[in-house]
Amino acid sequence: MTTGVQFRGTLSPNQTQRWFTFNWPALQHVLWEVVPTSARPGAAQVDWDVAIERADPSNVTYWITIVNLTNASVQFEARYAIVA
Amino acid sequence: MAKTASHGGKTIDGDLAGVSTITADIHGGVVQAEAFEAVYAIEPTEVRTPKAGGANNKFVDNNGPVIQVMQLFLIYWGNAWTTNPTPSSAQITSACQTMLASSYMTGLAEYRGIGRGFLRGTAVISTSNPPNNFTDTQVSTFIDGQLTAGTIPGPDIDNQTLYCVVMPTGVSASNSGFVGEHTYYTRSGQRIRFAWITNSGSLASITRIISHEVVEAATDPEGSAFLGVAGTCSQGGWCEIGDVCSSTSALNGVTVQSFWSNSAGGCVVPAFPTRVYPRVGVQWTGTVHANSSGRWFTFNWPEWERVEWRMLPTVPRPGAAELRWKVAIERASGNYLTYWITVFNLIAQDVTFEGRYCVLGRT
Repeated sequence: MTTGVQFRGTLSPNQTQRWFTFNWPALQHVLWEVVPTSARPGAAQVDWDVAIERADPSNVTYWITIVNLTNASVQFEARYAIVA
Repeated sequence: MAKTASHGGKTIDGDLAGVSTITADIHGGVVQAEAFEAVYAIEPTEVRTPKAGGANNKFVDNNGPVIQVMQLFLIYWGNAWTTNPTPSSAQITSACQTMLASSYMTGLAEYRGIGRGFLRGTAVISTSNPPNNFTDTQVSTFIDGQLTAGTIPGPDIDNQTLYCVVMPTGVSASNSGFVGEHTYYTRSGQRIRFAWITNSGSLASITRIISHEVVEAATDPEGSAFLGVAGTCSQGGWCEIGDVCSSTSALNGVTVQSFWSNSAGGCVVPAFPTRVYPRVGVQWTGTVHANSSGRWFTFNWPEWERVEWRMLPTVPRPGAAELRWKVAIERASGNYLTYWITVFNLIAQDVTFEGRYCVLGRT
């Protein structure tokens, strides 16, 4: 498994924002996870959804929508895991 | 402050607030969480919080601020950095990225849950040169000037940034007994945490000093958090977890210095535990009522492992989809994540399910 951080960002309170990341080989199985880097115990901070675009025969673009579930700004990192 | 060479849950019905849809997706305990109806908490089955140490701890928490997820910003000060020195700024930057991604900082979890940091960025500032016999004040004035000029970014919103000024070779501190130090100054009411590192021309030496300052700044950025009890350190200034250790190790090819672990009762360079991946299990068993939802949270999962979640009905009921789920994450501390999992029952009967995890590997 290959893992890494694809991008980092900040969301304003209760903000929803979408990012895309492109040129990922279509044959790779990639999982996405969004982890806050603002440590703030007591409640869920972020969730996310992933959508896929087949950009060309060989590559896909992932569209990742991230939601700040809190009333404070949250820093986060979008992590990928290529599992196969 | 550093000295000499080796320094520095229930259930929720309905959606989550602000989220309109859900599709299927993705340690510690499990508890059902709370909101409109119920939320549950679940105790981890296999991950345990590290022991906090005992009455004989060398270092105690004075309750000042710590840096839970450090954002290291490297500043290479001086024209010499533009002349391709050995080691180069690129080599130092790469080594720091490797160190931050390694197991090194995971051992800080015993200190209020501090976790790994990451490299926020770098800057080479060649428009001025550091003076020989420089002081802390000269370094803070330099940083402040760069912040004002906008050549380096301001602190992040959680003030987890550590500005680390790396000197060129041949430049010493006014206190020749020190090869690295971390401290802070106040800018517009905000604490700016910074460190400076002298340069002997050896990459191993530089990364050793940086590692020392990084763990000390994380556990005690302002001299008010984890400090040694009386008699722990021999030198003056802040007595911090790197000040009583001098041994070094190579982690992924990068030289780092050990630091004190209360729980181990000695100096450590933490390694990731040996674990089998992928690793699967049932974290909890729950029931979601007909056409409703429940929310659970499960805590103390290390941020450095990648976990996927699946909610599996336990009773065969062919003919239609029964469950979907949605995962949200809380960074409870630098080192630990809490997973909040909302499970939606899609049918008109109660559904009992297993909350299954799969730890895919390390991140």
